[in-house]
Amino acid sequence: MNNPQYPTARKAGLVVQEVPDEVLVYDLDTNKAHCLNKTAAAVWRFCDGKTSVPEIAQFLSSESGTNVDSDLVWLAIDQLNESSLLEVQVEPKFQGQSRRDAIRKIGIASMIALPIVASLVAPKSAMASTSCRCDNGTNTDCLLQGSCPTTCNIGPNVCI
Amino acid sequence: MLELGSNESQPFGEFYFVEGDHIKFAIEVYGVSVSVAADSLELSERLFEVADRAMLGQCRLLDAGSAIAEHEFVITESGSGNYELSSVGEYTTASGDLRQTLELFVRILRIKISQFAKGRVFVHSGVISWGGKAIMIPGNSGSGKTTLVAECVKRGALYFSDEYAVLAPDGLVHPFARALSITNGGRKWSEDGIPVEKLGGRAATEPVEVGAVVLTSYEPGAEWQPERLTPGNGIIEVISHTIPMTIDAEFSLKVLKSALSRAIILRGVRGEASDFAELLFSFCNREF
Repeated sequence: MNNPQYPTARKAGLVVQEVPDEVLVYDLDTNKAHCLNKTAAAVWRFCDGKTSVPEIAQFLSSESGTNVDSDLVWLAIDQLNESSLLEVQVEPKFQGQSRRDAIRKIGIASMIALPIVASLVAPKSAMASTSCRCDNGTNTDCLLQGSCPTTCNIGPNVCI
Repeated sequence: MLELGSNESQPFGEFYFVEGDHIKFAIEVYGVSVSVAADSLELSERLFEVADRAMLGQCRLLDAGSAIAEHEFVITESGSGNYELSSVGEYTTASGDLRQTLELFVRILRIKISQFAKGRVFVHSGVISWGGKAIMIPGNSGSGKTTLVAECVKRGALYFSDEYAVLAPDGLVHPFARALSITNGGRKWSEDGIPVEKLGGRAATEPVEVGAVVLTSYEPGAEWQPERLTPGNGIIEVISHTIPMTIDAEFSLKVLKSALSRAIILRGVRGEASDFAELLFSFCNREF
């Protein structure tokens, strides 16, 4: 069993690229792209299933030379969890108002950046090459776009 | 440039192949092999001609008798001046007059090439260069990128493309300088475009590094007050315009990183293209 106090970063089905101060993650299962800022990336790196949340906070404290609270780590864990970047889903610690309160509280106290995981869905490849989409053979969107043919030609829900 | 084997005056020369009732030819474009079968030599020649024009002279004829094509088209005359086109192994079937069929053929061909090109990543984006660096303007059709590109080239920017940023693993963006697809606000369904020279502009011939990426859309009366994105956040925005992303994510992401991690990435709504072009150049003059 995966104890949420010892979160494990997901490895399978992901393409990972590091850019300066950030990590890009592309989820092959969902076609979602994620950008982890430095703090979120650091937390994700420590999620090895053997390191507890307080220990991750300690590691981050020694790396950054400033005191890092476990709640900051939980803010990252919650976002990594929502983005399906953990091996096993964990119960979120902060939600709704409690997250906003935590962000405010931690944000004021923390000397390091709050963890942020930004996500976007990549469109199907054919759709990326054209903005026109059909709806079951009727290309209302295409006609609105004004630059597409009158029939759906390349596949279901895609015209060119 | 176009490679026609030994005989440029007879494009097909030894390259076409008779298979049953069809004349078949095969081409390679950006490393992607495509075979095309048609029911007459005349139609085959026409198909090759439009394909090569659409791919800006990058089509290389292969020996159709022995080539194993990754993609296959069949175009046949169905009577009364109509033609049928099918893309083998897919849903695509369509019929129409010759012009419609040829246009559909090249559009599908371009999509295939942009999806499966070897060693290149096609991003749906307008591209110009200014001060020796490329400015990418990613966006879907209708986002106004062609209008913006046209305004920029009228003001002296070098034209790369109004359709694709063709990125290489070394991070450089290559020209795909097709005729600009300007709609004049009306409905357009034509491969005919406006050559950049008619706008008083010039087309690029050499690849350059990406200096800036502008994620923008037109909004009447909008003031350009862009947000500067981090490289990572900028790249995930561009991913949604990256054509082979779902086909080869690893290579695509690697190339995007290589091309964009040093670029300035801006996001915001813009007003009129003519005003915006000036703002963009002023910005680039300061930053490049």
